[in-house]
Amino acid sequence: MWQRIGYLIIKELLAVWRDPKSRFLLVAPPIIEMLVFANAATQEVKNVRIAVFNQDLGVYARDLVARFEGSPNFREVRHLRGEPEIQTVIDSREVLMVVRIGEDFSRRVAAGQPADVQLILDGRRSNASQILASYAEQMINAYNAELSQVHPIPPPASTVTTRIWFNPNLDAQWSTVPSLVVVLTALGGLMVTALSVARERELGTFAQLLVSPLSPGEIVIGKSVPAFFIGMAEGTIMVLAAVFIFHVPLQGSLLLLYTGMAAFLMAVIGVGLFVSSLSKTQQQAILGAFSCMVPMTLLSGFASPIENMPEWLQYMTLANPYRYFIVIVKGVFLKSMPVYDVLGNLGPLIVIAAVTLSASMLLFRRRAE
Amino acid sequence: MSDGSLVIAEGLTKRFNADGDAAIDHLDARIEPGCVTGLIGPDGAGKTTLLRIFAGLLLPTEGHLTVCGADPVTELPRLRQDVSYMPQRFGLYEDLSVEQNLILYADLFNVVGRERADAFERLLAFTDLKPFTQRLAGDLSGGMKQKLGLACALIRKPRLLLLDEPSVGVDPISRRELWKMIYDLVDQGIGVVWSTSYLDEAERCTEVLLLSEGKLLYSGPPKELTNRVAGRSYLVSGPGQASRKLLARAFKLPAVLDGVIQGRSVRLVMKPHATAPLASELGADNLRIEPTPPRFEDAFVDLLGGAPKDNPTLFGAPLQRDQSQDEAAVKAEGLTKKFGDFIAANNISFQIARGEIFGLLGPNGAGKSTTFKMMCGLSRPTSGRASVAGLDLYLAAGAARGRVGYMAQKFSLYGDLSVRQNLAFFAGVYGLNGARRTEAMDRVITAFKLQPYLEVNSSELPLGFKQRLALACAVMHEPAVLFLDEPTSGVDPLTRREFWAHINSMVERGVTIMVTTHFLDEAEYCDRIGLVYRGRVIAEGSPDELKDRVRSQENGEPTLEDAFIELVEEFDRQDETAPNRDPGEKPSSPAVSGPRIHDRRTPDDQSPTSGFRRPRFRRMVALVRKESQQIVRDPSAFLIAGVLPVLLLFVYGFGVSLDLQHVPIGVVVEQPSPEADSFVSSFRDSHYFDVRVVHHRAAVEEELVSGRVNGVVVLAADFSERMGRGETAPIQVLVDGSDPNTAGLVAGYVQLLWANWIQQESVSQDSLVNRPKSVPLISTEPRVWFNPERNSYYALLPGAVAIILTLIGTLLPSLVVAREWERGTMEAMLTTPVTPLDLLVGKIVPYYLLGLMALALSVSVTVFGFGVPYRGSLLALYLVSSAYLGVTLALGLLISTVAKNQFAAGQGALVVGFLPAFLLSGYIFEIDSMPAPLRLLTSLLPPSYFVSSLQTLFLAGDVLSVLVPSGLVLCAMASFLGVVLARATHVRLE
Repeated sequence: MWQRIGYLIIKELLAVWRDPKSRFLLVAPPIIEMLVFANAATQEVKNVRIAVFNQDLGVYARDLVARFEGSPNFREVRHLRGEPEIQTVIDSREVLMVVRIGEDFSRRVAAGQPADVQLILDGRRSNASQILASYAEQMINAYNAELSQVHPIPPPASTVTTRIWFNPNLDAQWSTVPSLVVVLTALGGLMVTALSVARERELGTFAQLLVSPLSPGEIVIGKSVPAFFIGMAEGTIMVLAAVFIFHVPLQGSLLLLYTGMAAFLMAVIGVGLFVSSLSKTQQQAILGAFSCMVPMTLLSGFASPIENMPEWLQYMTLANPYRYFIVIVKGVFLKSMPVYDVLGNLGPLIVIAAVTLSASMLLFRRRAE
Repeated sequence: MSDGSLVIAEGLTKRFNADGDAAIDHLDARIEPGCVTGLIGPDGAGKTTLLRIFAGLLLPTEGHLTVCGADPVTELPRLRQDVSYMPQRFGLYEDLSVEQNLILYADLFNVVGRERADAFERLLAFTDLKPFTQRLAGDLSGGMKQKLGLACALIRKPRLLLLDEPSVGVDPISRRELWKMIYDLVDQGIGVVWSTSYLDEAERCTEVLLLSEGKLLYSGPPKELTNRVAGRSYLVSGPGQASRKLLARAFKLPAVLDGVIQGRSVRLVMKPHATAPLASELGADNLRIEPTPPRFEDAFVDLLGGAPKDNPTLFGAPLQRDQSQDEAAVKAEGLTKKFGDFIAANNISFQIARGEIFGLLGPNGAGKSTTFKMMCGLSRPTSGRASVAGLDLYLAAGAARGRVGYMAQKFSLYGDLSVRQNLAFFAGVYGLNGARRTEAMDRVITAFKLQPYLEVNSSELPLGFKQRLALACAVMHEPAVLFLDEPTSGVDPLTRREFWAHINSMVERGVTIMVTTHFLDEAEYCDRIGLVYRGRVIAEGSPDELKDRVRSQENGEPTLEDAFIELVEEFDRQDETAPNRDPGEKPSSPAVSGPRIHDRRTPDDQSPTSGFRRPRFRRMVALVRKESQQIVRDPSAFLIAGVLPVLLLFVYGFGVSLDLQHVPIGVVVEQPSPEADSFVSSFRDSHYFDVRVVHHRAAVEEELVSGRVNGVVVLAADFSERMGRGETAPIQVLVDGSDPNTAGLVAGYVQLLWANWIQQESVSQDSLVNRPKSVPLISTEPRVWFNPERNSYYALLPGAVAIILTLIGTLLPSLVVAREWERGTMEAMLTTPVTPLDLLVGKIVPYYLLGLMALALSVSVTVFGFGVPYRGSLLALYLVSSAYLGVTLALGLLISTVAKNQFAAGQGALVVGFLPAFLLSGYIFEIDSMPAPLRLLTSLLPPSYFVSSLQTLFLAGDVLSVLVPSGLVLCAMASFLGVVLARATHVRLE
């Protein structure tokens, strides 16, 4: 039995590797996607255009504007001449934010009276505008701190000191790249398995397998193991890229990372085989895999934190293998996560793998008709 | 041209590569009206290429060609009016009904009004398809499909009808009917070209063109060629002589050119000038050797240099006898298979002895394939038992399958694997290891002479070698029983002879064979035949016994085909309850009768003055209607246009939220105090955080590592004490930087809550903390326009709408067109008078409408389901979306003209359609923040323009300074791609 499976595995690997088109599709897109994604999928806001409407001629206003102009986050700071221009530049999306400084700003600051700076933001780019608002607030706070030395005020009752663990500079790529390791590792495993059975069905070779002494269980194993190796290889490429191209620190144990990757791939392969056993044609398999992949990616904590979702949706994500592996990868990379925390995320993955793999085995048996 | 020939070819040459071998080599031929011209030749001779050149689908490289008086290069439209072409694969739309297919072709050929009604009436009567007009073409049997194909090709009377292997996969009864129809057409003066590899059909043609390797070997009446071998054919038989042994001995004689088995006899063709074979030469004395009239096939084999005579040496020694030697090798007992109410196989029983060839014959849809599948273990019977070599196929499935070899109808091998890898795989799967595996592989490599091809991919093998490899893979494990499913369908006589030589040698070694076939010359090789009809075995016996059963006064020498047809008809006469040959159809189906077709006119028939009377508009309308009917039927179109939009909106609306709330944080209170309590409660009141209070920081720091909390706020033991003393009491905050976005927001919100708390504290408990207010000098006052509540899904959902339209515009059409290429429907379509513009309009309009429907659906869900405001005008939405759909549709169609297969088209659409819309459109990841090369890329890709327009329309209104430039860019992109697309769309295959 094991030798039969062995031959099936060798055949699957050869079939993937000897076809130049599928070889290309397995190697090139993940690497390109890694490079594009890692640079595009950033939540930082930099290089944006803003405008300043400064009605005050005083020194403090000029000082503040100079600070905005000097910030590396803004590509261009425009100066507006009149009130109506605000609407024009925001409406036409020329700038993301307008900083409006009133006439009596410098006078009030000089007098030690509270002064206001208005920030007008484009809500159509709601995410970027929120982040931008917090940047502006930070800059103004820093300015406040400086001013307080000029105008001594009593020391505050308390201070907040923030320390950021695991990613002290809040480098976006340290977070995106490990998540991409998850998404792209899954892509290979999912596509290889989802298409494998559908393609053999269309070519007529699946009947050839079914009349051989292979049992449905053996076919499932024979189809999973090659996808597993391919997924592990792609995962390794992604980890190497993360460490050597994007310089994400790898703090934790590689053994734990690979244990997690193995469990995750089994779960993803189970999903892929399940889709494959349901679909009759390659078209259905492609669309089916796609319809699984997109929600699993989006609801994994990669695009936005799971805590932000409504509670009922959070429960649904418990069945999503991505969410566990993202915790493991980020944990091992950035946090040097201890064994028991990794194990806690491994358990659900193994359960998902067991369920999907045995379901596809049952479907193969039934679908043999 | 005045002599009335339909096709005049002079020196016609076709090369696919400039310096490659010619597929058609300096061919001179004429095709006359009012007769059937057979196009005959071995596989790869160039038959299909020649027909495609005649049909104007391929251009000749050199030479002169006139088809129906038109030059196929310059006068294509004229040629299309006069020539009908039926491609090899069934080229009609399987997901449309019979009637819908007919209407489509009637529109394409501009057959309207009275003329159309008459044509439908005539063709439906002619093809006996009248009871099935509402049935999907894909559900028809093989014979009926070919008749429907013919009906569509004859919708207007062509002058020339080109048929590419119309009889492959068609049972003998339907084949005979097909010929009757063709003779009817010829009588009306139509010229018919019929390409085939069945040589009994060649004898029915008036003229034949015999092609080999692109060269014309013979042209003229078939009789003339047959007469060349007159006097060289003999029928040899003898009592007690196994015909297979006889044939094997005959092949050893140098004077024998060709030999085939015909039931009990062997038919031999001698070399020119050779004398009749002697009984002594054939190793027996009591042989009857008598001359027999020559057949076309004899002449064909003669012309191609004789049958391959290598003596196959498959197994070195006779197979060791197994314990089941006394039992029948294959046994079926009461096999019954029901699909719902329909009984596909009804109590089928038979036995096959060891070393016997058993043929399973029957008309299309009679239950033959169902039975065959059950015998292979591919399908489980509803009741009954089957065993192979004494092992039950269902109880001991694995063991039984180990004794069986199987060769599928198509060459089901792994095309990307080399010959050696295919062999190694199948040997391994059947449990051969180590030395046994090497030995088995060596044996078949020698026996099938595969040595020179060992490292070649099996998809690149010549057809004959594919066949050998398929057989080699099936027999390596020395199966006791070999199942062959239409093993030589569409294969030329030489390859077929070689194949059967191998089979015969295996049978001599005791292997049992079960075979299905439509080709009755092949059935002559069987020892016994079971004729399956209406789910039952209606006759069983040797080929000669079956012939004897129908021998009569009128037909003294019936062929096996005669026997087949007569036995089926006899069964029908006895069982008069259902005269209908099709078992799936209820006998008196009132589905549609003639007059209804009159009612089914397109609306424009009633308005003769409208512009739609013009053929071009009619063709476009017909193509649009066809595509829409397919969309309605196809579940995957519904999935993309109906389910996926809702799913995506749902995921974005609920799942992807960047609005921070209920973030789990831990607050460490090392020493409880009123101040600490008040601080904690201000966190508790906030909806930003879910607070867990602990007293030791070690516990909560671990949770930061495991990800159970995203931040920790530490109030040191001396917090209240220091505050009370009027000193600065530090608050330490730790945040998890592994998600920088959340980390930044957490830090910001903590700061905010703290600032509020300080302010409240100093106001309400002035007495306790006796110090002046400390407020920052400059405060900010953020105002978020268009989205004051700062709901991030306000911006995300319009982005999701863009993704949905991208999928509909790019992914769906590219898959659909690629499928048309794969299934051959595109080839059939191209031989009608369609122009590239018709084809494009026919694809673009339905998917454009589908896109608008999906747009309406997703905008409605966004506005009414999620409460996102819509502030723009519907007109602007319609215009911008139309421009965007134009871009994506052009892109999708362009991908499919390049890709032509579904897998590549799907990948292409994902890479150039979905990913840019998802990543580089700016709805979730800010474009300005990307590195310069990516920013440049986004400005070249359409999604970013559409996303900014949609966000503006939803949240800001009709802001022309955004909409006009974006709309113009999209229109420019659409026009550019449209031009490229129009140039890439051809009505030829090259």
